[in-house]
Amino acid sequence: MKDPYEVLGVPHGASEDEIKKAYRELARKYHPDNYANNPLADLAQEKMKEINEAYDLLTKGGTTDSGSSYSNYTSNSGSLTEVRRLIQLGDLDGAEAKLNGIANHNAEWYYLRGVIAQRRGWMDEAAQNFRIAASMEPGNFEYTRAAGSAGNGGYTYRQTQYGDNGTDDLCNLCSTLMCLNCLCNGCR
Amino acid sequence: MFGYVLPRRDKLSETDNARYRAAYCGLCRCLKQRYGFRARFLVNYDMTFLYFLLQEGEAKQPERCRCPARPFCKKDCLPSDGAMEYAADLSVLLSCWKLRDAKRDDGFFRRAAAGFCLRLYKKAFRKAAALREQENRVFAEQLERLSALEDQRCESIDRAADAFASLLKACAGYHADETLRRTEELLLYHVGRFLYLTDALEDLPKDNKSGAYNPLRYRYALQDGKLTQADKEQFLETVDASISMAASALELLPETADREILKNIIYYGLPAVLHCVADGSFRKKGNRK
Repeated sequence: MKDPYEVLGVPHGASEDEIKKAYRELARKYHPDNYANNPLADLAQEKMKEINEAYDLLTKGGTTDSGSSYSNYTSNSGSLTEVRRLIQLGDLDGAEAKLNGIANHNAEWYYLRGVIAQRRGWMDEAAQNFRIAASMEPGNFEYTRAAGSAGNGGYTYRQTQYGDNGTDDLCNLCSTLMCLNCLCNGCR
Repeated sequence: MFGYVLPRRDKLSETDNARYRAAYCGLCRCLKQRYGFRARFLVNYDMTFLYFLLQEGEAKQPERCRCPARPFCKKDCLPSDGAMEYAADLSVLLSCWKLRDAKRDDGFFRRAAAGFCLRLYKKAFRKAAALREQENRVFAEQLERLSALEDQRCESIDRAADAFASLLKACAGYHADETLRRTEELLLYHVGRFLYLTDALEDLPKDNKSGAYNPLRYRYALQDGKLTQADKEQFLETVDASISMAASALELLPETADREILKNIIYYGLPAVLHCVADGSFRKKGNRK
């Protein structure tokens, strides 16, 4: 097993507050919600487990109490139809074929088409389908949420500490980089 | 190559700036060692990024080397290793495929120039193609697919981008470990999608004038050859989604020596480039394509 301090990215002998803070930061980053419909969801889940174990080890001396952490998280994906099952298995072509064979295009149909597109990384088609689903059934939380977050694929990189995107003086990016071409860089 | 995959140097530390430069110079030197002097001209930022993505192990210490652009002083160069050689080989392949593409599509003079350059790099291309057979096969297949989609005037920006993104995904072929490779594949897929769509946005005015295929012309109803404000926002959001996906993959990669540089490129560099292309202020050095 890995060194729990290393997993949480804190120095040995860090205080409980520091550990808690580091844990929260990481838990937010790798939270399953961030990786919903992401092909790497399983890896994020593993990472989350590792973080939870490290945290439990450091704060409770190893007794795993899932109540305090995110480890008992399960996604509430609702009723599982055949298409949903295929999507979960990762068989996107199969799911799409099945979906195309269904004549009744209700809100859920569009939603699932959106999910398939999102899994493929086709964010524009995903957003289009989610929007249709949400407009057909405005009261459905799952659809409205998908339509709202379709733009960012679930993972919001601006949330992290790198999120600040001050845009002053950005666009001379390229002229600054010209220096790289060893032309105006002197002998550094 | 596009030259869109850049770091934001104002947000890089002094040391990381120097390391980025040393990697660029190292790649240039590696190209020369493997393919001769003229291959030096194929050095580019996108493959410098690939080098940082694929490198593993301890931080490599720079060596002193000569730069033909400044013959009287020595520069820092990161030493050639497996990842560097891989990035050099793919630089040759991708540049040559781009030249082939230009030879087919552009105007007479460009076609002639591309043909001339292709002849210069013929030997290099053959060598690189033999070394990276599998990658080269995917490049050929996906470009074939892309040009078929272009001929059909594909209306889906996702499908058009998928061909190019799948091409870049093949650059993850360096690592054998399945988990690592899968993560890098997702990252590169979305960097590829970002590249293709950003390029489409930048080329929109030009393509509109010449009547060349551009997915944005078929996906959106243009007004005076431009995207409406609402469409533009929607488009930027979908490109931004790819940056998010690339970031989500990066966070799952094991720590490497130059992690900060990779983070900088994805979290700061790509959004900045997109921002600048969107408001038309992304200044290019020389002609692209």
